[in-house]
Amino acid sequence: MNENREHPDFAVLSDLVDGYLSRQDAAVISEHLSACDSCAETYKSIAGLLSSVNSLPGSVLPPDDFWVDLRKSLDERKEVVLPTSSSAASGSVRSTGVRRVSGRMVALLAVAAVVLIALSSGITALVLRNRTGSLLVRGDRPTAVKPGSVASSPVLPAGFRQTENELNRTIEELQLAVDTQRDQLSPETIRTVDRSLAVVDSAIAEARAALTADPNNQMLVDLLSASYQRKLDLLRRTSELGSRT
Amino acid sequence: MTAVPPANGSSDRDDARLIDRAKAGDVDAFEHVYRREVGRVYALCLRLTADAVRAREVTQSVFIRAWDRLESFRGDSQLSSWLHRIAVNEVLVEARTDRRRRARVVLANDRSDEEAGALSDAPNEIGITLPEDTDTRIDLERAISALPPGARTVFVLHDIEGYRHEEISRMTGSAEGTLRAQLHRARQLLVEALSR
Repeated sequence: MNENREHPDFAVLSDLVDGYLSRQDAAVISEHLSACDSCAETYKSIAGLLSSVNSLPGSVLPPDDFWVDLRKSLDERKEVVLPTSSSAASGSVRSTGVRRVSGRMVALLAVAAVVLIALSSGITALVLRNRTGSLLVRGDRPTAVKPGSVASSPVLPAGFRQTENELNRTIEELQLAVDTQRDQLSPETIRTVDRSLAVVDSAIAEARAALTADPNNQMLVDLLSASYQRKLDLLRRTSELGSRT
Repeated sequence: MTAVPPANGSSDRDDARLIDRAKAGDVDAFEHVYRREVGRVYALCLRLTADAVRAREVTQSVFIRAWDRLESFRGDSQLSSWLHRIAVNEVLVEARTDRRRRARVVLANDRSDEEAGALSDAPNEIGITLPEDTDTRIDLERAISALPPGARTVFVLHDIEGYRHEEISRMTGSAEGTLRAQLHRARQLLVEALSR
C-alpha cells in the first residue's frame, strides 16, 4: 500500500466501475488500486453492490384484488367515453381525459355535477314521457357509447353533429391543457374532479342516448348542449386552478 | 405480494393484436397486457416510491393512463418499454406533487429540515416478499428504500433499470452532473448500510 499517493474519492471509483473514466485516468486509478488496499476494498464494495442489484427480482406482483379495482375504474371510463371529432374521424378510442380541480371549488363542482345529472335524468325522463305517453324505464347507467360512433351517428340531428364536433375539439384542447398541469394538483383533488367529470360524462351520455332515440326533440338538444357546457366549465376551471397553483 | 420471474417474452404480433383489441375498448385484452406487465411496473413503482400504498396507487394510475393513451402507442417501441416510461413519469409527477405538499406542510409547521424528515419517514419495509429470503436481498431492498428520494430515484433508474444518465436527465429535468453526484451518494450510502 502506498501511503504517499493521493486516494481517489468515492465518486471517481464509482465512475471507474461504470467505465466513465478516460482510458488514461482509468489506468492511473487502476495502478493506485493495485497498491492501495483501502481503495481496492472500496472499489470491490461498489462492484459487489452492483452485482447484488442484479439478483433483485425484476418483477413483483401486487395484491390479488388489484386487477378487480383497476377493472372497475376502466369499465367506468369505458362507459362514459365520448370520442372527439378527431378520434371519430380516425375511428380510434378516446378517453374521458384528465379530471381534476381543487379545494372548495372541487366540492362545488362535485355537487354541481350531481345536481346536473339528477336534473338531466329528471328532464330526460320527463321529455321522454311527454313524447311516448309513458315513463321510459331506463337502466342504472347510460348505454356505453361505442368508440368512433358518436360524431357519425346516423340518428343524431345533423345540425347538432357539427356543434358536437366543435364542442369536442374544444374539450380536447382543454383536456390537453389540464393534462400538462397534472402535477400541480393533489391526488385527492384529482380524484374529486375525476368523479365530477364522470358524473358530467354520464349526464352527457344519457342526454345523448335520449336525443339519438328522439332526434327532433329540441329540448334534448338544449339539455345535451348544457351538459357539454358544464363539462367545458369544469375543465376550464380545472385548467385555471392548475395555472394558479 | 410475491416476487415473480420476469414477464414471459411475447411476440410483436401478439402485442399488436392485444393492443388493437384494447384500443377498440376490449378490457379483457387489456387485462392480458396488464397481467403480463404489472409485475415489472409494480416493482419499479415500489422501489421508486419506497411505499407500498403509494406504489399501488401509482401502478393503478399507470395502467389507467396506458388505457387512456393506447391510441398514441404506435408500436415503434416495446409495449413493456412504453409502460415503463409511463410508470417512471407517473412516479416523478407524483413525487413532485408530494414534495410541494410537503413543502407547504413544512412551512406551516415552521420546520427547517425537510431532508431529515424525508429520511426518517423512509419505511423499513416496502412490501416486497422474496421467494428465497436471502438476507442480502432483503437488506439491499431495505437499504434502497431508506435512501433519500433523489438519490433513490437515480439509483433505481440507473443501476436497477439500466437507464443512462442522459435519459434520466430528460425524464427528471435534472442536470447529468447532479444525477451523477446523486448516484455516487446513493452507492456510498448503500455500501455503508450493507457493511454494518
